[in-house]
Amino acid sequence: MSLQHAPGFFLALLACCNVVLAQGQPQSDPQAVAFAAQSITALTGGTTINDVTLTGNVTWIAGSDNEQGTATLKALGTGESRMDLVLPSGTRTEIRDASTGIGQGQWIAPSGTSGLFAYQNCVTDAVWFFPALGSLAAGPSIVLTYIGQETRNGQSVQHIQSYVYQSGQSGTGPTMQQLSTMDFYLDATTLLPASVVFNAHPDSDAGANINVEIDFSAYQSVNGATVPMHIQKFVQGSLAVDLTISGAAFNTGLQLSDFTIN
Amino acid sequence: MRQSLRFLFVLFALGTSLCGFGQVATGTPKFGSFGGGPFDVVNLGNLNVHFSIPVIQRKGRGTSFFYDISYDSSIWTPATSSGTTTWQPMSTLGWQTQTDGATGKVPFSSISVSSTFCNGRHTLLYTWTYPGYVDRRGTFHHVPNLQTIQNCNGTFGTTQAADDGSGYLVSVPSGQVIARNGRSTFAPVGISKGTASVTDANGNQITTSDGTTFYDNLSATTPVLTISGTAPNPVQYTFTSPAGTSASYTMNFKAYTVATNFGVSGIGEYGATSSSLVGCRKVTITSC
Repeated sequence: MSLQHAPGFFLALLACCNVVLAQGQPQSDPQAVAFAAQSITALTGGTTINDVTLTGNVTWIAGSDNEQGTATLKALGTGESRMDLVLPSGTRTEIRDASTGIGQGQWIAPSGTSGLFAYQNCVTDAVWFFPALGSLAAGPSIVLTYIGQETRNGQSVQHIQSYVYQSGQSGTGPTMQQLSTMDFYLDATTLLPASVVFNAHPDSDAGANINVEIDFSAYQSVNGATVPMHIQKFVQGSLAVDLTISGAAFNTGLQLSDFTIN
Repeated sequence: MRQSLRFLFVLFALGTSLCGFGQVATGTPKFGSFGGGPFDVVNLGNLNVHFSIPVIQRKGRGTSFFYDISYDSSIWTPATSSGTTTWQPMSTLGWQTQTDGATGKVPFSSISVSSTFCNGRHTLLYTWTYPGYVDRRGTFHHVPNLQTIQNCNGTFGTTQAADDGSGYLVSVPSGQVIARNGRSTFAPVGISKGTASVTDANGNQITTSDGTTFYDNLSATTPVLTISGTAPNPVQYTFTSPAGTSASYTMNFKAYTVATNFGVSGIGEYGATSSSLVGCRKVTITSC
């Protein structure tokens, strides 16, 4: 990591996890940590990746809407991400930012309307499209659990679960563990991520779950890293975003200002 | 008629029990216009169909105990999450069970967080927001500004009045709900199963410590109702029959696939999900 990025990266990591190291934090399963580390190595080729930019084509589906366009996905560290979809109806943007110490998000619709993410939707990985910059990296507050080897969609996978540990959370409603839980399904042979599953929540109801599944396939070697050239995002079991990646760039010097939330 | 319905009715239910509030008012909201009947109640304003299947009704001292399983047909709501809208079913597919059948519940809404320094230490402070109160008949009552707030000195709740004319006064995080007639209910907050109690103006109580075993003011140490099992396994409702013997209802579940195909622009469909559960219900009265 370059010194230029170090403060931002640290802040992002801290904010992504939302907590500092706390006493009483459960230990991660050594097996899960080992698989996660091997998965990251498989994705990055052993190279340290500070930022990533993926470009390609996208199909956006929402009910009767079905639009094709181009996509640019950027990530800096584990806390910053940005997705810009240029569609016939306009540009749809989603930004995640953790540089202030608290995970935040903003969406901008093609019509120009925008809004902030509810907090309950800012505690899973910001970089959902490139898992090497997510919970697999096992930040200080991430607890990894090895669930076991399973068959998923006809594929043999290693199932790892992660959540953000937070001590001292009081009050009522879903816990940080419930809100931040993510399931990683790693190809049993290559340990490359095949699927990541987590819950989003309605802006007005953190107690309700909206199932989100990210499927990765068609991995190819690009600039020393192994990149999923096909990424699909399913929301409530329906395909919502279908990305065909055509280009990937790493460590291009993305700045925190690229992820500013207004 | 009621017995026939108990035998014949097919229930749709899910294993989890979360809130039943949404864009369409459920239950029988105050000042509403209703039709239908005699079994169902149709809200003529939004066409929601509501009905209740009684499990047990028992006269008590001051406060009678009843436990119903209710259903509301308006289960699909466009749920917006981070700028993306999808069809979201009520988590119980319209059915409300467990503790909310006797006390209602205070559903959970959202969390917000701020960062500050408390006693020189970086601290995240949370605010929990609740939309209102779902009464024991399944009717949602909006309560504005109902929040539990953290600051550097601790966690503090609020008490607010419903703004729908119902007269409910709701406190969080305790879950205390005081009705217009002085009846005080401690309803589960953020969950639909848990410790709850109802106390009328004369101090007569209905209580449950775990959301599955209920005592009324006549039951002493014998529960008036015991609920055992969790979906997808059979759920059994056991009580004492008028003859003094044990009686029970059993709710059975079966997996069905649920999906939407509404085709509304801008609202993502609910994909085929086989986690929904459908079952039939039967009554068993032993040693009658």
